[in-house]
Amino acid sequence: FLFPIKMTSPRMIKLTSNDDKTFEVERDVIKQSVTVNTLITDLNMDDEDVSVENQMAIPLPNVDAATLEMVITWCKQHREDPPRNEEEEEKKEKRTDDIPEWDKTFLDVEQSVLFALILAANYMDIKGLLDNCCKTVANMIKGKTPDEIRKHFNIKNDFTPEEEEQIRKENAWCED
Amino acid sequence: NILDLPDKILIMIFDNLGLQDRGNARVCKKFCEIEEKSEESQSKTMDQLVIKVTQGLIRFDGSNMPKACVGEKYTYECAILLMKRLARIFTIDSISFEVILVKQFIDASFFQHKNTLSKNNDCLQTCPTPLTIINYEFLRSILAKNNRLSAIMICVRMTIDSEELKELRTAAMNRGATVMLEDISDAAVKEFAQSVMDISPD
Repeated sequence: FLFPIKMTSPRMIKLTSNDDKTFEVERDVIKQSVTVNTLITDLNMDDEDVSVENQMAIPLPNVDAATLEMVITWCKQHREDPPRNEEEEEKKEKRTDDIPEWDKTFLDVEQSVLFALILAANYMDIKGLLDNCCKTVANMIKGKTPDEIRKHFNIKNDFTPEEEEQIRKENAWCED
Repeated sequence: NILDLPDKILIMIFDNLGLQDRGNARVCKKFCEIEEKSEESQSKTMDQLVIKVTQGLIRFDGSNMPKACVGEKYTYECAILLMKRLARIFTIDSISFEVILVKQFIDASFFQHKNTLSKNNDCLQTCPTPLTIINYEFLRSILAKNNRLSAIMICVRMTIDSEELKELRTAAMNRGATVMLEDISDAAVKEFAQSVMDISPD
């Protein structure tokens, strides 16, 4: 007997950005977003009887199209990553020199784009992306003097001279 | 702008910074608040460390490092964070005391530095040794508040022989510290822990 092999195409999920652009993304890819994953489960969207055409798009009111596109690209790149064990992650030593090369290049963007990505990763609850974004920002701070940090991030110095002196003393305390 | 990011995110960013970078990142009032919150977020680990201090045992061998302090200078950073934490608990001005610390503990390098250490006690601060001395004066002053202790100190299990230990102890005492540097054998840990077990901020 020959049984016909059922070719199943990957299950797709529709996501809509806050500027009304809809993206179709593989279920397997977007599962890295806890927020989306929970919605899919809660709304029974894993029901195979519902075609993608008839499927409701998940609105992401805090994410614009350009950022969502980046998030999806990141998720695609990391779809094979082993699931994160948050308890283990908590125990791991904090380091910022372990950002994968692909992510380093991917996150080498303008600050505004990086911050938008951070907000999206936070909203969509994609811990791997959020972690690597935060590490990237931390790396921008590392090794810089306060003035350099202010300049880099365009931060206004709002200390009084007395407060600044106090901060300087405290910082000196933890220097080599 | 970075300042528009939610506090939770900024704290996560600060959590990734070592002590000195955290200090340098206090570039505005908002970042000062964030730095404090980030430090508080480590408090669980720090509390465990403080408990270990009050029990007379601090093992700076990496097994109980606060996660934000791990890195090249983790011992030093950890000790300072611990001091700051203690200072808060005991409501002492966190910058009013000096950190006296041997930063590294590398057996091999101890021997090449010991002469410097003997000749010039100021080198205590930078001399690599198998010991980590953490701000013993400060700890002593805290823990001696209720007169339960006249000396305080010690951190890592040591592998150096007792002659070397004596030499280092002498150097430390010459520096004016009422300090004992001892190898922490299990028995010594128990005894020491017992002697400080019920010390409290009050």
